[in-house]
Amino acid sequence: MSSTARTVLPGANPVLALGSDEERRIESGYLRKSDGREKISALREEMQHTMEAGAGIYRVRASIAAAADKIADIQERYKAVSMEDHSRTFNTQLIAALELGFLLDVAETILQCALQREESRGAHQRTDFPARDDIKFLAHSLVSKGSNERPVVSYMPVTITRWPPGKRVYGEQSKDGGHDSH
Amino acid sequence: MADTIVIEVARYSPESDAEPRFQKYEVPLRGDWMVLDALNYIKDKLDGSLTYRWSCRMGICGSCGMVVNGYERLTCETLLAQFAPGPVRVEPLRHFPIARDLVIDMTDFLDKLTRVKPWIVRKDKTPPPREYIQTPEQLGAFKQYSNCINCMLCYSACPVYGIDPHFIGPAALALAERYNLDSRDQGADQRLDILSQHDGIWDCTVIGECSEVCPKEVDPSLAIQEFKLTATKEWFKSFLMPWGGK
Repeated sequence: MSSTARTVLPGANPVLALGSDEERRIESGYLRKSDGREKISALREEMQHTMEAGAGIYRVRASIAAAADKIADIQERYKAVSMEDHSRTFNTQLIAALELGFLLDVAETILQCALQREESRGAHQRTDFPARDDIKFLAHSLVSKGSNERPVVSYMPVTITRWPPGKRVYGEQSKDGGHDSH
Repeated sequence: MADTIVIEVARYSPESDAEPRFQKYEVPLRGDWMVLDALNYIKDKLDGSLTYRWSCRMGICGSCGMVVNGYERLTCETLLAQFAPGPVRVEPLRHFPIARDLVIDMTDFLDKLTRVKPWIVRKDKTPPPREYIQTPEQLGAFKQYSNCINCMLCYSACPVYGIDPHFIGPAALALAERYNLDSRDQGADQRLDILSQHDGIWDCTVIGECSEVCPKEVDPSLAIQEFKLTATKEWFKSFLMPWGGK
């Protein structure tokens, strides 16, 4: 974010090249932006309420799908985020704007993973799929950005070492078989 | 009670202002709001360009120290309604250069903090086979000093630091004492050299504002007086026992 932007020649250090790309993105997308109309705090609050309502611990296809639509809409509006602070000194609004952008990416990631994981496991409780499904979903969810900027979910197998997955049960139920382990 | 209150916030941009100015904002007067909530309201709803430091909102991080109606406060634990009907004046901490709006440049404090070696100094060459044992009494000897959260309210309140910026200042001295009194520490003699220099402890004239404004009930003023005593004893000893009796 320094004002002494370096010019990086093609073929030079790729990390520096990434850095100057990011510097350009921040300059044109935020610091010099003056046509925004969407307030950071309003978008942030809508995102928070959407995630709380649609993707809390208990989720169901309809709630997740509705939240995903809403977050996609907020993502779109975020492109017109309004920047009142154009200062190069201790610009906390720039930080808030960048944070919101990353939070929206994370929100989309959570929603797509939750939508596709049709089972319940740990803190992901799908009331429409209450059972754990090790055949399909004993897997790490990996998320990447697809061609349309939307997240694409893929899976990587889990290597079980010491603690196999088990039912989380308490009290009387725990005496017959369930082991509390994940 | 009116349902709004006016906040006068000190604004300063090094890019466009020659000196700080005040800007007025009208915010809801809510009984459960702290001054920091009012600043967050201004930033979120009224003027996104206002800049200030804050983080934890619960008196632990030490980021949101400001001068509220003339007194140094952590804004996250200063009730807004006590200032009704207002206005409430919010300014950056005194005696530091202003970076922008309510944000000060804390470089001088950080330099001074490092100079007093606020960490446990040991003379052993190798790490011990187990942890150092400390009794509750030994902990009690320094515990209050360890509550310092580096919020710098004491530097802003200290008239001596205001006159002589070389003065090491209250928080750094309290933290030096925190380690000097720690039974595990062996660095007191290294700290003595720094502390007994002219700009160390001797500038303090026991005004006590530092202890007064501390939000964590640390007593830097006491630490400084303890140091003066230690330093004086060491000075006499250097005459009585020049061969180095410790």
